[in-house]
Amino acid sequence: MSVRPNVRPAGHKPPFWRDRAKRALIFQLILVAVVAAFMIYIINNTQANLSARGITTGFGFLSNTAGFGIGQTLIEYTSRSSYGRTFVIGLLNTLLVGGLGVVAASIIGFIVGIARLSPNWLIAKLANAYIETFRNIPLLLQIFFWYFAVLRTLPSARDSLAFGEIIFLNVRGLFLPEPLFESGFGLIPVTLIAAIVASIALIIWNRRRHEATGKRLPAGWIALAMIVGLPMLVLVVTGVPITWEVPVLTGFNFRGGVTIIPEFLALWLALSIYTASFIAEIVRSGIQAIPHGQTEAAQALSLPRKLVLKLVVIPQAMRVIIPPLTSQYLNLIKNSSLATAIGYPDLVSVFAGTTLNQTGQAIEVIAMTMAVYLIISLLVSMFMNWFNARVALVER
Amino acid sequence: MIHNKEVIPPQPAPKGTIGPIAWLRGNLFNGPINSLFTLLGLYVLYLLVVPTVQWAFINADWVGTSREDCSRVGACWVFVNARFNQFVYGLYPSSEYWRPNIVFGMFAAIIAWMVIPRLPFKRWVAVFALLVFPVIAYVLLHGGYFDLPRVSTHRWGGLMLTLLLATVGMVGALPIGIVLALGRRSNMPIVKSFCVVFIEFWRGVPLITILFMASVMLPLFLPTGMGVDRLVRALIGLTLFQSAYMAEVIRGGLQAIPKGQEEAAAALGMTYWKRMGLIVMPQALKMMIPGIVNTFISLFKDTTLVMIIGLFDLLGIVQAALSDSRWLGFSLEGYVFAAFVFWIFCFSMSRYSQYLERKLNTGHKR
Amino acid sequence: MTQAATNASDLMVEMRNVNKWYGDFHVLRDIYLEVKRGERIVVCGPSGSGKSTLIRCINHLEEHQKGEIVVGGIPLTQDVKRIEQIRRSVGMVFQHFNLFPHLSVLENCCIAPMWVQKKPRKEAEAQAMQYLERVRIAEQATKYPGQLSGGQQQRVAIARSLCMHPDVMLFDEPTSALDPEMIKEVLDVMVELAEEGMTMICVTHEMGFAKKVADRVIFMDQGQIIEENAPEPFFNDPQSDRTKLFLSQILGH
Repeated sequence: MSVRPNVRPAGHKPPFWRDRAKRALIFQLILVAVVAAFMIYIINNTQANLSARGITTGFGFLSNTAGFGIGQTLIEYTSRSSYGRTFVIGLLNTLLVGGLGVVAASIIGFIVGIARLSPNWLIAKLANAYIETFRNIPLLLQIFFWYFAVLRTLPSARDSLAFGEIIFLNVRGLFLPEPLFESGFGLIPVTLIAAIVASIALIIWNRRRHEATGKRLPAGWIALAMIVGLPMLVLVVTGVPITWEVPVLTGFNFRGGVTIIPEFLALWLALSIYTASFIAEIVRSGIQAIPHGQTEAAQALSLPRKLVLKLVVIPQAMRVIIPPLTSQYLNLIKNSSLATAIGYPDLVSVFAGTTLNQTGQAIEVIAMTMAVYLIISLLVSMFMNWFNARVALVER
Repeated sequence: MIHNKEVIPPQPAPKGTIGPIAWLRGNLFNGPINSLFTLLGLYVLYLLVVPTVQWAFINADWVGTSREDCSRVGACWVFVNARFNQFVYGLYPSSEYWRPNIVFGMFAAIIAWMVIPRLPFKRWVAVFALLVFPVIAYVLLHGGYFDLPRVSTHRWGGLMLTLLLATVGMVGALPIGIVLALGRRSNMPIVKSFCVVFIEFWRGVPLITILFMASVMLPLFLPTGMGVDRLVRALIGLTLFQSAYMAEVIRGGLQAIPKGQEEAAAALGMTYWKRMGLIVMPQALKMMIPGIVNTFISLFKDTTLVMIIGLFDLLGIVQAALSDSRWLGFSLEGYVFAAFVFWIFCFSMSRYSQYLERKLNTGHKR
Repeated sequence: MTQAATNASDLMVEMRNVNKWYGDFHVLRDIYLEVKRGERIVVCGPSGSGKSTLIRCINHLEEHQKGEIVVGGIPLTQDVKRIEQIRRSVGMVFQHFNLFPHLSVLENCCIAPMWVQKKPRKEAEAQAMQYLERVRIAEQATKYPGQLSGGQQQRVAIARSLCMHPDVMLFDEPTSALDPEMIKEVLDVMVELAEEGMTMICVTHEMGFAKKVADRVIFMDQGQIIEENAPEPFFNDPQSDRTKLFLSQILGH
């Protein structure tokens, strides 16, 4: 295979070791040979080791019975389920803490990042203190702090911290009332969907109207009012068809309601707080990357402050913010694997931990676990490339 | 028509536009909303600072030897005091503490020499640090030579191990990272795709799975009967992980060098390795230092993960001390101490990298 | 627009005893300036003399601490509504153009008419095309600022300001970031604008432009107005030593 177009003066043929293209080819062939030899060496060793230990390779173990319980399962699972099922359970738990972590970290991060730029000196300094504190302490230490020093030292179920006698926090976790929907409740989600559809329609109509006549309604506020207000209205009109199942103390623990295990709380808190400190920095530098001249030009055109932000600053800042932001999201999902240190049943904990220990299928288990993270990374970087191509500023 | 014949001397700014009161008004109390925020901020500060100071200083116990010396009203630093040597040296035999101390001292001296701008012979110190110092450190820490008693690696721990993992991981990752970065920029398709796959693989998976892989799968890859030290396994994992991130920093630095530099070097008849080694790398390296320091900070924090595969780094040893039955219930003190140590290291490094970035930026503007 | 009014009540910009400090530094000292409708003023002076600060005070991009500024009969105060009202009638062109890079040329010109004056898009676009035509850049309307040369960008910036039908145009060194061959295309547009009777206050070192269109030339140094005169006497017979020195430096090379 030729690497560069070969344009040679006729009649001159250098010896092959001085020909650039051939040199590159030979070098690459050597590289391939070395890598291949290395792989063969490893595979041979592995086969010898596995047969010495009596381990058979293959993915057959996935259908074997797992035989262990898991503390938090989003879909049905018993100790009689298969290892394949534990993989799915772990993956779902990873995605749950990752997804909720992304939401919380974004909210905290954007607030702190904007506060960092506040003209109020005290607020800016407080935001800065937050950033400098949390991003300079290892995440694992923060997870331990929340888990062992805070949540594990909470009182027992009998002496729970009660919030209005419906929410209880104790060493076993956070106990929330669970909504039980009665007949007639079906109207509320329908109303909510209708309100969302109407809001989207309103926003589109408002944009068209603005284009056509220059007039605008505060559509965002109206939409918000509709989405919140209409379901509330229906709720009241239908006589509130929800009963709340409040957790009740029976014996040594609470029954009923929704239980959030302390492992989840600790991991979620630590991941959100830690990642938020990085997101805050990204937001700050993204906003600061917009030259002051842009704001001044918009002001000179007499755009009011709100529109300067909406039309000039935010669209430009988002271009700068989103690429590093997605890589922080990716980091958060990868970091959620630290769950294993406190026993939150994520993918690494239940699959690369318990399952691996029980089956000894190290290669298959680690490969599957890594493949999950690689696929997530790949999907995110595909999104990133698409996004960058879409919003890149057109330059000469 | 002359406007002002006389030069108007500069006058002081009107009262209320400068000075502490004006500063307060301008920065804290300009407008009702801002004043509200200021009061809210003060309240948050009060809520955070007062109990912390009371717990950590005013009501804290500092002297003593056992938990009986703790009043439990505030922090009990007696715990940290009693365990301090372990937190620093792990299970290293106390009669041999002088050995890690010499290594610490040399390490600190090298860092100080490299960081203080005025000191000369930086290049030679760097060569010493990369080639001679590791040998000295290994001989001193591990022993077995020159009548030094052997101290096997499972007794290493604490801050010593944390620093060791981070520096070895870093120093090992640098050359691999350079090769990977050059490979990724190469126009040989096989080399390039190999490097891309390698880099993206290690960057795509969490460090914990790499450490699992190093501790569980590495023994399978080697010939039967060839055991690898647990610490070495962790170091291999950390180094490979770090090299991928390093490669990206180096690639960024290389991209910042104008193409003309390499072209000029080629026009002078330099070969590829001379162009890279003499012209491009020295310039790029300077621009990469802030990025390298930043990845080092991440690595430094990430070394805590080795406790999951059974090594006792600073966090690992604190965690182990917390489960000591004589000292149950002091987790807050233990974590706060560990957090403080990590914070000091990471914060000063990040300040240093910011300082370098500022220096680089002004250098460019000139 | 061509009525060159001399009526004293037709003052567009009045500055009385304006003083401004950056911290301790006294940047504007006792500024008195009156600009009538249709008048063309050129402000010159060494760098750091406060000339940019002076015109940036007029549309409140900078805040003055002492004195009084009245624009189009409206006194400038802290009132946000008033500031926006004044900015609607004052156009500004910057040294570094400050076009919005994420919007096309046409969108740059439509954004303020659509969102501030609440014009329909069609109308805003038609009017934008008209002004782009006038600055001779209509064929680039769908391009983005990053694709244009400096001179083209500055002409778009002028068109963008004109789309708001301003009563006064402020020019803050509009040609000093441009390559020599592009200066002319921008100055030509400015001369045409002046000939149509636009009230203009230009901070510039283009003395040729000053001689050609200015009704008055103002020389500033160390935050104060040193000399103020019609171009002819200003250039031929400067009164103050500092003006002479400045002119010899700027015209001497």
